[in-house]
Amino acid sequence: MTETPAPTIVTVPDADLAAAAARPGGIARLADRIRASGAVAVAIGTDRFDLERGRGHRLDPTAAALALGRALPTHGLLVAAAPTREHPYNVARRVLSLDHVLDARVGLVVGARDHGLPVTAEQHDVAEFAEVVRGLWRTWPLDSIVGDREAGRFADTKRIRPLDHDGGPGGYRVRGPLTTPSSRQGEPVLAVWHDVAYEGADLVLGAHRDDTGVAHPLIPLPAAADVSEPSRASSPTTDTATDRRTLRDLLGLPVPATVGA
Amino acid sequence: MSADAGLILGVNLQGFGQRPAAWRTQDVEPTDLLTAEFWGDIGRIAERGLLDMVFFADHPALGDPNVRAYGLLEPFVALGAIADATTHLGLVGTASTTYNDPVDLAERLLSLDTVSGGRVAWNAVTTYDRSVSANFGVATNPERPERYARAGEVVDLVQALWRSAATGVPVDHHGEFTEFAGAISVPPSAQGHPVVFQAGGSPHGRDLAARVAEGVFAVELTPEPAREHYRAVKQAAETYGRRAADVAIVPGLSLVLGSTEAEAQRRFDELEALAPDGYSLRALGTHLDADLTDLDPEAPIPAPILDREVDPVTYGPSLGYHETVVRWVRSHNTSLREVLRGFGGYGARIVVGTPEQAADTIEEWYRTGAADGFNLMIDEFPRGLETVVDELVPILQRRGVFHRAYEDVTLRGRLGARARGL
Repeated sequence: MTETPAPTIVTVPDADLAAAAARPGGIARLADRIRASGAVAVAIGTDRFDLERGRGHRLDPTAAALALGRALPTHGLLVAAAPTREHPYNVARRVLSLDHVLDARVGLVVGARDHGLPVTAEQHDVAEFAEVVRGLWRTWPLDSIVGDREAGRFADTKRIRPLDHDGGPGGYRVRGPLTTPSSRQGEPVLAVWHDVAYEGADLVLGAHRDDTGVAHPLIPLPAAADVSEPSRASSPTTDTATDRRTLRDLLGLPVPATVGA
Repeated sequence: MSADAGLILGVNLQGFGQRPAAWRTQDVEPTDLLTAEFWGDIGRIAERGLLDMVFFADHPALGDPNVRAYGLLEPFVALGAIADATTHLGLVGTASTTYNDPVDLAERLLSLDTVSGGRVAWNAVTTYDRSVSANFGVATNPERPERYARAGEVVDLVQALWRSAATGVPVDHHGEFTEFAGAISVPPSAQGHPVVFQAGGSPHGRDLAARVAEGVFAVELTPEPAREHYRAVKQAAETYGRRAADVAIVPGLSLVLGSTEAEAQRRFDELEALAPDGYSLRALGTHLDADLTDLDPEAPIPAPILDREVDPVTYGPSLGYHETVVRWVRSHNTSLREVLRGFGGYGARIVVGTPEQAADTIEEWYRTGAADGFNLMIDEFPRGLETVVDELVPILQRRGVFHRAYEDVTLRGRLGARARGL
């Protein structure tokens, strides 16, 4: 076996994230455990894709991501979402907004179903959900923002396009464009949970490496007791001003060619 | 009545400022609007001035960024960045009751409230803008009665879900628009759950505010109608078994400040000259729901535009703005040009003057029962906010209307303490 080890991604159980947020200093201690894992990125909210684990205390991953991401200034962050109740316009907007405020270190993990909530009457196709989210991320290229103060031209609006997605009966109809321009890494990393079939994903995530080797392995969060030197781990030893690696850099993923085309 | 030192001050975060040209008159990069650092700095300045809260409107559709660049980040994401940079500042975000799933919304807002230590408020709006519905697969927005019926149900369900998070007792909701049986499992926040604000000024909106809101973002141009609306909402709250003090009335107030009145006027003129062509005219046209572009600027606005009976069912835009602006135009209608000259707040009261003059207006409205506080619409960020914090706030403190320390860490604790006169 000579394969190059893939950069690891650590998962945070929902209950640990919720408990950390509810206690003063809890997010900093959780960040220490994540650092101790050796992973380059962390996935939050993925318990919801698992029927067995998706029913305990939890936080909305997009609401918790900022605080955790600021406590981990050089790690990537993947947040979970499913089409169970959320609309792709809202999800696309929140995740791309997060990618901006966390300096291009963000990704989205799309799963088929949020097992923590009852489904709505309308059921949506998860691949279509992912397709609409990704399409919306490509409607407003960041480099169209020119900021010409003299001419009063904020952006070259000719380069902003609607999406005009029409999924037919029972599908999504989404005009676009998104309110948010693309990001420094082009667009957030788009991952799918291992039971989702969507060819446009950057990454397939699974709890375990499957037989085909396609799914990216996730490592478990080290127990708090195993994190021996939190004080050293939490001191700012890296120069975050010069080390501005994006999540795509951290995971070795290319910038999608379509962005800014 | 308002308690001493109980004035509530919030800041409406509108891109680089309320003036559409604010990005052209300051040394800022357009993409600053996308960074945690920019919004964190704004939050820190506001907190240095002991301001109660920052506020984001929301418009889940892209407008022309060359007319007005704002709302590039989703409001609660930007508020998360501000939460991370501050410890006491209240964080008020707008979210539509029409275009959000109530269960998702309840989880998401309570999550940020827990992460931020109990500082979040939800401004519940129904969303009338036609460009939004197309992003959500709806041909047109529902008419006002349906929007508000849904809004009432969604707010009730969201609040019931927040209570379920604390008690563990499941919600069993079978409404006209939504069905949900279950609970959400987010840990309760330091203030229990988010505060609820409401912004609609129509009869439907005021009724919703009286029933459920802890704060109302009002639209007022002159004090007498403001006092009427203030009394009406408080009295309606009492008919729902609430106390008048349980709902805070917070109109918008536009500020362009200078060390002299002449300097403030020069700043205002400079910002107006750099604004996109016809910006004020379009803003006025939006509130009157009429195309004003071909009118004679030297003639008064024609009576039919002002006299038109508006159908509260089918009229899409804000009825609160419409009513307030029509009433104001009638008393200033010497010519369209003159109306526009006084319309610098784009529908909100504006003070172009010194911090003392702004304090006069604020104190008068506060002490005469026209407002419990103001949502300040500041000309430029960060510069104009620093002027407010360093020059206006100390005047209001000396006059005994604004607090000298945060009474409580949580937003609800603070609003409650101010209402009780503590």
